[in-house]
Amino acid sequence: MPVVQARVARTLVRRRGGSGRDARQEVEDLAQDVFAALFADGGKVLRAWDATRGLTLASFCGLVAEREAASILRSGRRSPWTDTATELDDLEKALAEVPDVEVAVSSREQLARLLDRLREALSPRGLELFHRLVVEEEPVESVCASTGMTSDAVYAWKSRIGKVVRKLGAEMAASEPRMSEVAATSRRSGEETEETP
Amino acid sequence: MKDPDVLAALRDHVRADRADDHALEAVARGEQASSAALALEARAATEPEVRAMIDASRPLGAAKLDAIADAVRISPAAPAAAKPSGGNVVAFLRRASIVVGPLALAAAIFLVLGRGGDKSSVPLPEYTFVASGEKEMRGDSPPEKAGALRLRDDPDATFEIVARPATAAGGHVVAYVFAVKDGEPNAVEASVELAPEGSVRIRGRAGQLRGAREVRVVLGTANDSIKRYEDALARAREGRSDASVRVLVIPVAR
Repeated sequence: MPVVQARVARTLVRRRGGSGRDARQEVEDLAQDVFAALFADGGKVLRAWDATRGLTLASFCGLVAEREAASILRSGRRSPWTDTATELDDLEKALAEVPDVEVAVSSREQLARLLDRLREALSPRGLELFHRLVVEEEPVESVCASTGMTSDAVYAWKSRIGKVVRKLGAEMAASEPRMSEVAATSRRSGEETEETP
Repeated sequence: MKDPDVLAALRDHVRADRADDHALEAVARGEQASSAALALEARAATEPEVRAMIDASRPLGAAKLDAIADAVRISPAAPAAAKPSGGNVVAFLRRASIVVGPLALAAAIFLVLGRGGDKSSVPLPEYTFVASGEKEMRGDSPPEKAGALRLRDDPDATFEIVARPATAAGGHVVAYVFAVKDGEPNAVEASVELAPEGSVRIRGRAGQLRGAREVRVVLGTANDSIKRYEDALARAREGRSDASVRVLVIPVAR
């Protein structure tokens, strides 16, 4: 509970400054939503946690708490998780048409929005890998050792996360006219910066 | 911004966002006297956002936790028509209505995970410890209050921490020693002796603890609950014990 409450409190205050409606009441409501998400569908999200993959249970619940709180504060409702069973197929189809553009985020608010949408787009496993590979910059070899995944699979996830970010950046640029003026600029033809498996 | 740049920007954003998480968790656990919480409290005097985060993180209290546990129990998000394990959760939560919130929630989590505790790791017994600086060891001064490590202001002074399990530990116990300064644990170079039943004797020099407010000793089982140094570091940072990892938090007094 302390991890969930602390993540919810931080997410709430960073987004709303802790003013307005009673922050304590909002923390209580959001914490309740986090536990509802963990236990939904027979605990599907909770059961996505695997002790052998390197994250502690508390850290995993913390990731879920951040994701749920940010999603609710952004849209006013909980966002369903990507279905683990079909996520790879669906994600690959969705990413097939990713525009070849650079993502430009010039403010903390834009980064926060991009991060919220990324968290919503990833499955529990994808979110875990985003944090280990991108946030913690854990070496691929280390992730392979603790997850049992092959290096090809981990590199594929790394590439996939980059594509998701680019796709979301393009969507944000299209939906935010003022941002689009500075956000998406055409990539140089043939340029490739992504790591491939 | 190219992919690596935007990923780096996201990385930095998340890290900055999380800078205070450890301290906020201490506040949420009701550990306002911990070094991390005190450091955050000091910043709150001039940073309204920090003040708001601390206030929002204070423990909710049993009544509110009960309300959360009860609401989760009846939430449509936890349908009774789920898989057998899901049905068990709902049934459990119905039965747990007389149990206080945090216990019901924690127990339900373990039930969902199929673990009465964490079967994936060897459980460790409770540990007690005695910490002593050179003064106490030489009998120069009365012992510090229970649990604290009193150090002489001399970097060459020695200290000793002896931790004993309530019952013999199963598995090969490992111990990592960290000095916590400004809320961040740093490994301490110390002599660590381990007895077969799980007792641990740690000896080091006060200079290794310069500026530290706490010593945290992380005890776990080799190749099981503690597989690598990073596992121990993460636990030291959390300062949290569970059935398979014990974190001894020892205040440093000078």
